Amino acid sequence: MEYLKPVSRKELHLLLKKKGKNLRLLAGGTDLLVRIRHGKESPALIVDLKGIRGFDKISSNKKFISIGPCVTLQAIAEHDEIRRNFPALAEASRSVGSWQIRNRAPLAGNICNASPAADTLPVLVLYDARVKLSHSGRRRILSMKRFLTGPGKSALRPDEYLSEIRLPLPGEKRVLFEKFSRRKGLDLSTVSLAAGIFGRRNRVRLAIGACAPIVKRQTEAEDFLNEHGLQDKDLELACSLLQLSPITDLRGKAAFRRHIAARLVVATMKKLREDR
Amino acid sequence: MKNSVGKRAQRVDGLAKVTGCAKFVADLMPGGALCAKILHSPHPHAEIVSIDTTAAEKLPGVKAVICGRDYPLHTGLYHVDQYMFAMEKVRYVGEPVAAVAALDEKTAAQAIDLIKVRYRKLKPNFDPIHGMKKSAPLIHPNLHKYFHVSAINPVPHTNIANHFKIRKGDPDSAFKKSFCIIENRFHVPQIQHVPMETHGAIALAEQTGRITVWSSCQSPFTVRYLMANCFKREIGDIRVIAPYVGGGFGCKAGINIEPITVALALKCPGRHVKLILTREEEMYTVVVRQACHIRIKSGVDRTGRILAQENEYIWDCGAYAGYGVNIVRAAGYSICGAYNIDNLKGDSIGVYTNRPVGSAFRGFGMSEIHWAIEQQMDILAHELGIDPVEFRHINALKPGSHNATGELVTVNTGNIHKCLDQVAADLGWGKKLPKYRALGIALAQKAPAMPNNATSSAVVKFNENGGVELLFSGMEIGQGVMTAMAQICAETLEIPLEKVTVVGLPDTDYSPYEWQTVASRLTFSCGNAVKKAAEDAICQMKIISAGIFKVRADDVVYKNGVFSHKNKSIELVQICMGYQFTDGHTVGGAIVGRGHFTAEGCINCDPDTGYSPKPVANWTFGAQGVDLSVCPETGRITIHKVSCTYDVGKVINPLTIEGQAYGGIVQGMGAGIMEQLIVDEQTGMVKNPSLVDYKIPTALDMPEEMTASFVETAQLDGPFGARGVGEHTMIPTPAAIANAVYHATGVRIMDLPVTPEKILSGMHGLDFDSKDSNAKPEQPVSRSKKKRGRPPLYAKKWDRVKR
Ligand SMILES: Cc1cc2nc3c(=O)[nH]c(=O)nc-3n(C[C@H](O)[C@H](O)[C@H](O)COP(=O)(O)OP(=O)(O)OC[C@H]3O[C@@H](n4cnc5c(N)ncnc54)[C@H](O)[C@@H]3O)c2cc1C
Repeated sequence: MEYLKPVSRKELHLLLKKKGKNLRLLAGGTDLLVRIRHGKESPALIVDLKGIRGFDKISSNKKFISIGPCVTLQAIAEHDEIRRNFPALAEASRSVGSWQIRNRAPLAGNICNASPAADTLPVLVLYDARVKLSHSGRRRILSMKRFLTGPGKSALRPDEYLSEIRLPLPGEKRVLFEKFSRRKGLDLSTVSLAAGIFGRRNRVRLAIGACAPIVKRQTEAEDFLNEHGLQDKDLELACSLLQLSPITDLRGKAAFRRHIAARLVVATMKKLREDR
Repeated sequence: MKNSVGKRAQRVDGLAKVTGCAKFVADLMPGGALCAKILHSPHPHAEIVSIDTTAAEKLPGVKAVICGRDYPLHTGLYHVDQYMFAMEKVRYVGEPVAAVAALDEKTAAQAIDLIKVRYRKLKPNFDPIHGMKKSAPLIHPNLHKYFHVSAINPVPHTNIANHFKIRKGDPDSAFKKSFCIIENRFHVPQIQHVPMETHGAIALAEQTGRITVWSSCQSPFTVRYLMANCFKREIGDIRVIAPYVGGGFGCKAGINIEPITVALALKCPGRHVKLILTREEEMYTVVVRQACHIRIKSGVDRTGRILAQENEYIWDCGAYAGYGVNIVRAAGYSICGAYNIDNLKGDSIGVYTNRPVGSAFRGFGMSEIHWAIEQQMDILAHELGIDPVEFRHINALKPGSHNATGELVTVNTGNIHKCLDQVAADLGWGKKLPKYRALGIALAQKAPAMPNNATSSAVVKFNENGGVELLFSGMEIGQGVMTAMAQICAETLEIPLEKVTVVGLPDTDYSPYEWQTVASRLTFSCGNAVKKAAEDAICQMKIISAGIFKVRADDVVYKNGVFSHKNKSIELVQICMGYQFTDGHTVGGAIVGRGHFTAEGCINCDPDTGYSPKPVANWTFGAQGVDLSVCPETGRITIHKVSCTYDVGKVINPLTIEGQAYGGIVQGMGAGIMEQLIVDEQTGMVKNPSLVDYKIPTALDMPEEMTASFVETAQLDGPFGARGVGEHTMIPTPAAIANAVYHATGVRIMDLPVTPEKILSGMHGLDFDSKDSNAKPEQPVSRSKKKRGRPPLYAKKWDRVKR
């Protein structure tokens, strides 16, 4: 196994162009190294992104906040502008793993790993985040919906990398992130949820994690709530419209996950309707 | 200077540990050490047809490959039922089948993959209740041939490794007289110790025949003894050195991986062989806590007195029970907890299954049986409309009552009632709480489960400045034994604590004997040995002073470092290395005090009735209460407060005893609400052999508040009155949580752990196993409306006869 650590975008682009098919990018390594150790992957070449200048920066313009591919989850959890505009993203980032993991792992790694249980995904989906995928000479900007294609699968091509995450401004404060796990610290989600009320028209947005192969918006339930309102009975009815296909694993049985997802929807929407 | 005992002394080992100076086995890097790896059985029950090691042996860098045929040797403490490597058959997934030593880890791992084993699968059994039946496969067909100590009663030609009986009074007629009879079943799953440091050992076999082992162990002398038995060597040929240990909780009691490293080392004389288990190996290939299926039937009168009880514990010992049989015994003589019941039928039965090996775990069976006993007490109290605290006062042991084996309880035994009242007061028992928030309480009792001849010794050797080096072999496994022993030594010698240097890392060549670091016995047993060693040193110096004073030794007074008679006095520092007169001639010499202690008068229990006037050295009692709330939507538990009180006889060090209390509460909470080793009953594999899916509490999961307080009813033969408490603090926690959850929600959970899923299915009648989530609640969760006097709903599920 070979390990390379480019110091410029140019070097990275060159590597991707030449050896894209056989290499694995490494950001924090907190997913990749676990997979390698368990024998699920054995890449011939590992390319570390952490040496590239500017990759660990957060910047903003009038339209969006831009997050570099090496900005750690802890940095996001502590970033003032993000906390002001996208508080639920700070919250979701803070819920990942432990101090050690958050200090090590970038948001980009959580996204690219594309786990159905990745804690930042429901919030990113809700905030309509975009990812920029780059490649020597070319780049494209995708919505989360187009980026996430399956459990552990994304639209990333072998010679591409995620070079930026964009959060459209203005953000929204009325968004809550909830995580149900077996214990309070250092655990993966059994169910996660992001729910919010957006804009002057008070539109409901809802996304649930760890309950389906792909994290996406619960559009049917959203439409129902936007049409009928947030009375207790509406919330219960909306739960029956949730698009969930959970699996049974050691974190929870499928039926249990469905139940918890519904209860979290109701509890979170009740909290939110006070702000509406 | 008598101010060491009772002082909040800082840990003696603290600085070494926080600075990283403390070295653990994995830190030791002897030059040229070989790396060892084990090949584990992939089957829960299978005959070994053949083992082919030729390809592994040919791999460059491999120095030794061994398996059962190379060492057809047995190990085991109380019951010698296990080969070092599986011989005719394997009995659990993870059982060592072969091992290699190679130049590096990678080569060792490759060599393991090259060993070819052919198995013929046998029918496995994972259910101890089925295992007791004639139709069950025999896991140990040679059970009748195994050696076992006299206190153990295996049943030949069955799967029963030990059966302990209590037959006291006349339960049959007492049940007939009962106003109400309630019978319940409970279950406790296997759990893991999860020590921070996994098992590790390094062995060196020299051409002289000498064998040295560095081991992460709780009991270096027992390791040495069992190793000598196993390899048929003189005890003196073997030397065990125990560096710092990163947590044991019972899993490093007895003997574990050491023989494998020695067996490899014998094939590579002169080279160190090092074996450090991975976390995955730690999870199921060494030892775990036994599972238990429990049935309790109680008969009570109208006033709430328990007239008769049947307690049945069917232990899932796993594949081997060399240590586990003694847990079965301990549960036997403690069968009904801290209660006074005149008519008792108790059966504690250890059954072999094809699960991972059950062994010692903090509490040694007590946490498991109290899970059931303390819920049963709450259920009885509820049934009779009596407050749970009051119900316990009515039935708990008090001076004059006789415990399960018939032993008389005296004013010196320990005061459970005081503990109960203290905890109730600390929690504000009876206060009004919001909906879904409630208190729960549970009692605990435990005795050191050790052979009646288990002995401790200590040496106190003086230095030139009137200070001492204190030698003993109780292992510092985090419980604070080094500090406690230093305090006992300083207090007895009446010298400042700083003058005591603890030499607490045993080397069997140089250190005084200690049986084992288990059973919460060190403060009591090793503490007594240390105290006696210090007293012996003083006595020697009194004799020398008497010669100088020209009086009888009895007339010499020792106080605060000075030997005196009337107006004549000599300071300790003048005499501890020999006393020199002004003309130069010298009497006496370097003082070395020695002491030993063995609990007196302990008698084996009668095999037919369990009777013994003194089955154990002493008992420690305590109570613990929990204040928690349950989220009715998600079933999540929030623990607001846990309070505990134990009657420890004497607090040697308030700082470290509080540490033990809080640590025990949290470990008990882990067992109570999240821990469980899940075995796939098709393949016998543990499904959660990693910390990703085997959860223990983190800092964020701590109770919001914890309190610990102590009652001091002096133990007459304890050092300064002390008795043990290291394990006790985790015993009542799970039951106290379950009782609180019941009071908060009306849901009684009899199958550990208390998870949101079980709470929800009890509260809302949901069955998460079926696709249709409106089906019936799953067993054994039952629900009751809280109504006094009227038969509650759960009575349907729980066999209940009213007379
Ligand atoms: C103990 C522990 C606890 C954890 N707890 C949680 C938790 O609570 N919640 C949670 O969601 N996750 C958790 N995780 C998973 C993991 O930490 C996160 O998913 C983390 O964000 C991954 O980031 P990383 O950079 O460390 O991953 P890496 O392993 O470096 O990368 C992950 C994947 O993304 C690819 N990749 C990384 N960066 C890029 C890029 N810029 N462009 C293209 N591809 C890229 C890598 O090739 C790899 O396939 C935990 C992991 C561990 C080990």
